[in-house]
Amino acid sequence: MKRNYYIFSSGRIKRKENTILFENKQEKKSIPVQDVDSLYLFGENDLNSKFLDFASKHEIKIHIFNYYGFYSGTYYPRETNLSGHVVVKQVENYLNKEKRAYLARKFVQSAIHNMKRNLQKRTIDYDPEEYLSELSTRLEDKIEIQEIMSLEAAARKYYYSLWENITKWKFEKRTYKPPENPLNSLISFGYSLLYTTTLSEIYKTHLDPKISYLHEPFEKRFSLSLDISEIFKPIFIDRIIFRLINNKMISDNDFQMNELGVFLNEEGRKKFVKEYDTLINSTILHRNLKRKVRYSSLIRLECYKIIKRLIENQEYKPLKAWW
Amino acid sequence: MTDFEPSGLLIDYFYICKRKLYLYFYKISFENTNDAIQIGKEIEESFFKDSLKSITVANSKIDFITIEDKVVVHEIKKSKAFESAHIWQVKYYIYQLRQKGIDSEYGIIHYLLLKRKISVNFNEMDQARIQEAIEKIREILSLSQPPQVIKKPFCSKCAYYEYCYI
Repeated sequence: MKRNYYIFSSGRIKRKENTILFENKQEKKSIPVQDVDSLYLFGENDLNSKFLDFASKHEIKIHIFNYYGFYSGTYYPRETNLSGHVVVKQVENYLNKEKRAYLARKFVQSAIHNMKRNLQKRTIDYDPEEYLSELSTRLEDKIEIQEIMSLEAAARKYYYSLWENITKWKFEKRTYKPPENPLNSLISFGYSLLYTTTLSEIYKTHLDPKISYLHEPFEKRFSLSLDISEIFKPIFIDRIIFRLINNKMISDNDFQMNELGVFLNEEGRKKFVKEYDTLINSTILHRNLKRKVRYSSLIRLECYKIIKRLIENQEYKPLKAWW
Repeated sequence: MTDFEPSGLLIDYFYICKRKLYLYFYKISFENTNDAIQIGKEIEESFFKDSLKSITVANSKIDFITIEDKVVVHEIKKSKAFESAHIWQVKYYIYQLRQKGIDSEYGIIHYLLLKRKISVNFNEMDQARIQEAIEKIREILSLSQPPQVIKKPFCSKCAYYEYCYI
């Protein structure tokens, strides 16, 4: 099974015969190329086109983060799973207003369900059921993307309003450009990790990451990755954040603050990534498939369901966390 | 679709699963994440090394041929799980060769892991049955949606399993 490699140190990454070699003054490390799904670069690294070509051949996605741990971009190798048929259907479902709204609603409803699941699992003095369920019901007949988006925003706002209660950390409100407090910076960092994993999983399918339904396809990012990430934010990232904080695995010392905002420092990022990697590699028994699947594969399976909706016009049942 | 000529692999899939046939034709394939396919390729290459020279007839890739008094078609397979589909695949190659005026009437399937070979004969009856199959394949591929999941025990080993059963 392929996995992700996270490189925090700075140095040179190159092709050495048929493996990947990382080197700097202190160390030399080789990474077996067949073992790599995606590479995450957090340090300052030099790489050349020979290496990128090698990465492409092995379908390795390279996600790059800047000094502050902000996601800066992905080296997305040449697509190998091309199906004109799927792309045509993907566009058709975007252009048809009702079909587009159908998918957009499903993404949001799944996200809301998963937020609710997180709240149910924690003993706090709210009845999250009522308001979130109501928002979910109100989505049913919405056709305008704007309305769907604003119901999603309302759900998220309400959900986040309970976070101080869950974490006992200061939150106030969601700020991301820049994150204004540690909790916000955890969210930002976590969501960008999830975005990259989702992108890597979309790559393994026939979906075109640029054509999306909830988000507009002309946003500057691979917007389908944003759409699908919505489903997984609560069950992947939010749960990691609660765990890091409530188990006192992360503290003020793991953040740096400057005029640009609050960010995780290298130690903090390492802690987060470690939890994240453990989570996406852990397995869960899938109810329909009756076999164990990795958390990261749940995202790929979600893509399959979307493809099924697109080419077979079947009902799309987005993931609703049952655990 | 009326004059579309399927490849040998499509014939094989037609006898295994019509849904797989459809999805494969529309390039919706999930096989690159499946280790079994990789293993199959490696085996094929390591057993025959230099002697392996596939030839292309129409849009089919025949693993290799030998020439006796007539042309003999050879097909390499890993296991006998879908033997009858394999037989039709070889018959179809013979059919294609004959359409091109090449004299051929039998073939050999090599089951590498079992170290066994079986021979496949071709007769006039087969000719009609293959034409019938081609007709049905054209019909399936013209459908606007893929055929239903067939729910067979062998599904769980298929590269499409996750897609079909999710």
